Amino acid sequence: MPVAIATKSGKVPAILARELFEKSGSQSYGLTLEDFRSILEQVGSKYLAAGADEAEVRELCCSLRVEELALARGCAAGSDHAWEVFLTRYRAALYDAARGIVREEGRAKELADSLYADLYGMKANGAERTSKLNSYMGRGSLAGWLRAVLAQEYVNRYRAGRRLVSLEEQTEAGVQFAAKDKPSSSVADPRLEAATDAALASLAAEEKFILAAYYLDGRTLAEIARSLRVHESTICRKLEKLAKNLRKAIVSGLMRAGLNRQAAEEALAADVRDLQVKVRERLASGAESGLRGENPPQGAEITQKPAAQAFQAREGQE
Amino acid sequence: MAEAPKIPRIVRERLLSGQSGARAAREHLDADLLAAYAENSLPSRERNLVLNHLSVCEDCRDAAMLSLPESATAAARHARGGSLLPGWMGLRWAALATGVVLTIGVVLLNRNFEQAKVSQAPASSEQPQVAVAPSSVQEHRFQSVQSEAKTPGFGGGVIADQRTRLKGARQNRTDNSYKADIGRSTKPRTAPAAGFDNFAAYANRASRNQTSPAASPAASATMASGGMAADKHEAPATAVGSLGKLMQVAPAPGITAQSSAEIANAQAETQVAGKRSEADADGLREQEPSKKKTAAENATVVAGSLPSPPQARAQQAPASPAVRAQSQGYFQTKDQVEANQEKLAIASSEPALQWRIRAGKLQQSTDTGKTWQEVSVAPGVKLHAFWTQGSSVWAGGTAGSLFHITDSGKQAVRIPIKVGEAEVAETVVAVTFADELNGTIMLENNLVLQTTDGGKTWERR
Repeated sequence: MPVAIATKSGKVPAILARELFEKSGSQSYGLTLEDFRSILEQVGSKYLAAGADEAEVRELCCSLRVEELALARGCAAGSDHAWEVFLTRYRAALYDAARGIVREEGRAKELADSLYADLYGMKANGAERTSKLNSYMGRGSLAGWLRAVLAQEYVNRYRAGRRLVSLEEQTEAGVQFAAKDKPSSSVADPRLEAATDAALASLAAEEKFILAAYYLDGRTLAEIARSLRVHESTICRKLEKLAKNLRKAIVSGLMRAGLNRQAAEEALAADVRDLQVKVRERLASGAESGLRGENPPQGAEITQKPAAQAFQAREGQE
Repeated sequence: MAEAPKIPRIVRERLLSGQSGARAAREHLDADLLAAYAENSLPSRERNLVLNHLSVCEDCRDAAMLSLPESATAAARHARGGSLLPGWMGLRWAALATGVVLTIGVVLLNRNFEQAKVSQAPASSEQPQVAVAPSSVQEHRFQSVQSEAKTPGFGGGVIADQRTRLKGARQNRTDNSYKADIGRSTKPRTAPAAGFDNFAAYANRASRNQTSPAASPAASATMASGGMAADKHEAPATAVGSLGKLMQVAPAPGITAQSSAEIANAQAETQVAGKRSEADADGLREQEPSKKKTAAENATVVAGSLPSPPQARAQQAPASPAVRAQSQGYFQTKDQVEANQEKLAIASSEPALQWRIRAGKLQQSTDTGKTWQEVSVAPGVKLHAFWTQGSSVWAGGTAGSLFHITDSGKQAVRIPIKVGEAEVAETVVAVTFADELNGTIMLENNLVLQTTDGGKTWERR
């Protein structure tokens, strides 16, 4: 179910509708002015807030890719000319996008072909044909929309496939001998949770996205930078700043909850779930230094080594 | 790239719990918003909403990442400095290149600004700097020359004195100030008064100062300070400022015999004056006889007109008692100098024609730059550079246009620039003409063309 940013809209002024209608070339795809105006109003009802004024309607309508919107809706309406244009312009792009997502020729073709069927709107039981192109609203380019639809389809298939694991595979993997999930070694201090939630809630949307993409999805700095259209080093700086500020905000929250600074910092630092990792880190570092013939000084802070980091990352993923 | 910092595990857990909450809600962004987000075409409000959703929805994050256009990848690669060099190395070289470009730019702009400032400064303000030597210096020079005149080694003394002064001039003037002095010409047709438009022409000219007919105050200052080696043997070393006031009367006799290597050096230094003076001698010829006589009698150089050996010699020296007197060792005193000022004011009252380019149009002034009149050369052509030689002006500009302007700007003839059969269409950015026939131009594509027949044919140089 799509996220609805808005549910109601104002009417699209007739002059604006005519202007955009002429710009879009809808006539060549068999769409009338009224058809096009109703499409615009459909877009407005989806993306504009209730009671949006004319300026907002105009701004939204003027930001739409009306030519591609007309083409998509022409295809959805069954215009041969529209389909000719669509296939000429987007067939190759669609397969390229599928190959970019799947990176395997056969599966990419399969993904793209399945989308074609949806775009055409075939119904097995002879019901009314409903083209997926009807859901294109012209906010981004049609090529971008096709890529997004392919990506969503691929993610859906991947998630569905991951849930379906054969019993044979599970047996081979020794699932029958698997130990039971360990209960959490300790329950986090509710004050710590509350302080953390408050600190996270105070972050900007982009900062939360960066945190989630980097720490949860394991995306690289380059991937996040690409998504946000900034430089990789910008993301790195932001992450450093975020980690620092988050720690500070959590400590402040704990202090507001009644802990003194030292206790708050200890509560954050001495999170029991970290202890295990630290022990492993130390073991890993010790092993490395032992291989090099070094003896780490007793009680000295052991510098984190790449092997430890890799291990910790694996632990984190588990 | 440095490893990003770690966050407390509690933060990661709370982030995860947010994800599971959103998963339960089973709401996802529609493909339109994802496409618009990937193409960075969402307004900030909606972008924030999308980012908010992406921060809690793993599926949408994956879809958003997968639906990024290839151009975003290319842009990100480009932002990292391309694949040819590692990011830091590319940045380092880019910073170095930027620094070099900025330094060159600042130096050029500073030079241009200085020249423009000097050339636009009122004549009265430049007068003391350019031509009026401090009286003490004058008197000292007077005394030294007089004392040298009484000694058998007079000529050598003058040369020595001259050399000292030239050295002093060299030492005291940086390259910039020297060029600035050139720009401080009393005839600003050669000065880069037109600012940046004329800079290319000026730079070209400055690089070849032997061709610079800039009747420059550098030359006049050199002359005023006794460095007028080229003409000193006969031409009177009297220079006036742009307002026509008498600046100095310096002795000349004896130097004629000193055509030594030192003088040759000095000539090289003041060749600017020599070149320029040829044209100005013509100007003198055009003056009214009475004024010419006055000028000749007082053996002066009128503002913006420096004497040239052949013509000035032919016209002035034989008829000038003052010169004769000077050749006999007669020197004007300071009082005489002041007494001559009135006459000189008359002599220099002939308005000097000055030229400049402003906003792509050629302008002339007959009142030492107080007012400027536009010279209609060709409508629609934006001029970029000009050159004056005698009473002729050459101006070049857009679309390969080059004009020869004569008759004080009343006549302008277009000179087609043809290399072979093809006519040049590039903008002319620099023009120099040594005389009516020999000239050189530079085009915007750095092509340098020269003519030896007044522009009928052009050859690459």
